[in-house]
This record gives sequence, structure tokens and C-alpha cells, in this order.
Amino acid sequence: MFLGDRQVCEELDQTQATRAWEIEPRTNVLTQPKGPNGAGRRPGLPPDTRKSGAPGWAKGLKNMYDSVVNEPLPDSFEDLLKKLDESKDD
Amino acid sequence: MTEAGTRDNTTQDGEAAEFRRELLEVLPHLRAFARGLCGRPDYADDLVQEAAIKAWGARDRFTPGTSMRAWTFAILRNHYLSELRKNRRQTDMDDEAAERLLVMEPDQEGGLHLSDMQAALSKLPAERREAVLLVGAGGFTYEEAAEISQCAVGTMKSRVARGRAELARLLNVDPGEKLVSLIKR
Repeated sequence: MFLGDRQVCEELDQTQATRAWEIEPRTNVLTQPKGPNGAGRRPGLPPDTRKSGAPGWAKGLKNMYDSVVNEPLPDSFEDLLKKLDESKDD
Repeated sequence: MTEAGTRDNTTQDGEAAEFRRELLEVLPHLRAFARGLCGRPDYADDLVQEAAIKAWGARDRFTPGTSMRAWTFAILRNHYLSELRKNRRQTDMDDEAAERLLVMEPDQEGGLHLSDMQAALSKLPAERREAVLLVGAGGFTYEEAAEISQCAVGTMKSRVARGRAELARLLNVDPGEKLVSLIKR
């Protein structure tokens, strides 16, 4: 019986991975694993989590990426840009 | 063939200019992807420049109208992986790289900081790291990401799911106190 429960958990881990961290501490995880309002019933979570159902770190990953995208190109790219520009006249 | 070449010169110039414009446009994205992959800004920028040169050299193989970002990401990740394999043969460099990863300490001020994320990312196996970066950060569909990583869509889905679960675990368990303070805020 326990083995069966564990299999369910493992499947959940894979299919509902974005919610894995909120599933873990819940005691009724096996009876209501996919409750649509599951996140809303946990008042302690940060607003981001409640709204999207995605944990805060998921936004952190996107922020990390975007913060680099928004950086100006460093000086080290000058040579590359020059090279691309020169080959115009090939 | 030479006749056709001279006749199409203007078209080719136009295409080259368009290619160059699109390539320059995706450079910031390549930088973000590369930094996520390897975790070291300087090395990431080297990878991007090398990948950009490769892309420029292979521009004949690019189909105009398709995604320059997806195309160049594939070049970058292949280049990164081949560099990784090369370096793995040189144990000295491997140790050095491992040391640099260890030096990346999470920010001490609390809350989830970028460096926490980068440190957690660096602990994932390369293919899962790449998967969460492509889908979770880069905004690619599973199908696009699978094409970039040259794997089946199902494989990509499973890599993303496992990668996300691992990130959640790393960011939850490791800086546990930080997360508690974040929740209570």
C-alpha cells in the first residue's frame, strides 16, 4: 500500500513538478493532489506563488535570464561586431 | 554557378545584412543562455562570441524567416558541450572549473537572489540545466527546446520537470532560512 502511494508521489513529482514544493508539506496530498485552488488555500505563500501557481523561484529563473538580456553588450564584443561589419565588404 | 552567383549578388548582400541584423539582435539572449549554462560571465561571453562567429560562417545554412534565436541557441549549446567534453579530458582545467563553481556563494542578505539561482542551476546535470533554461527562462516551447537539444519532445518534457523539481529542492532545502523569511515577509 505504501509502495503504491509512493508511486503516485513520484508520478506527481514529474507531472506537477512546478508545484512539487507546495505539494510536499501537505498531508492530504494523495487524496487531493490537483486541487485547482490548492495554492490559494495556503495563505502563507508569497503573492507570486498564489497568483500563478508557480513558485517564486520560477520567476527568479526568468528574472535571471532577463537581467542578462537587458545588460548592454560588454566592450569585449567590439571585435566581434567589427568582424561582422567588415565581412559586409567581402 | 558563378553566373548565378553574380546575378544574385544583390539578393545575397541583402540576405547577409538581414542575417547580421538578426544575429546582433539575439546576442543578448545568447549571453543570458550561456551564462545560465556555465555560470561564469567571462567564459559565457567567450562562448557567445565563438558561437556567433560559427553562426556567421554557417549563415548559408540558415533558413530566412525561421527563428534566429533557436538556430543560434543550438549552435551555442553544441559549442558549449563540445568545449565541456574537451575540458573534461584535461583534469587540471576541470578542477579549476569545479573550484570556481564552489566559490559562487549565495548572497548573504536573504531572500532568493540571482546567485542562489545560478548556484542551484550549476548543480543540475547539464541537460536538465539546459532544459529549464530553454523552457523556463528562454520561453521556448517544448518542441522548440527539443529541436535545439536534439532530443525527443517527451525527453525534453521530462528533463524540464526533473530540472524544476531539483531546483525547487535545492532552493528550498539549501537556503531554508531564507525561504522562511521570504514567506513570512
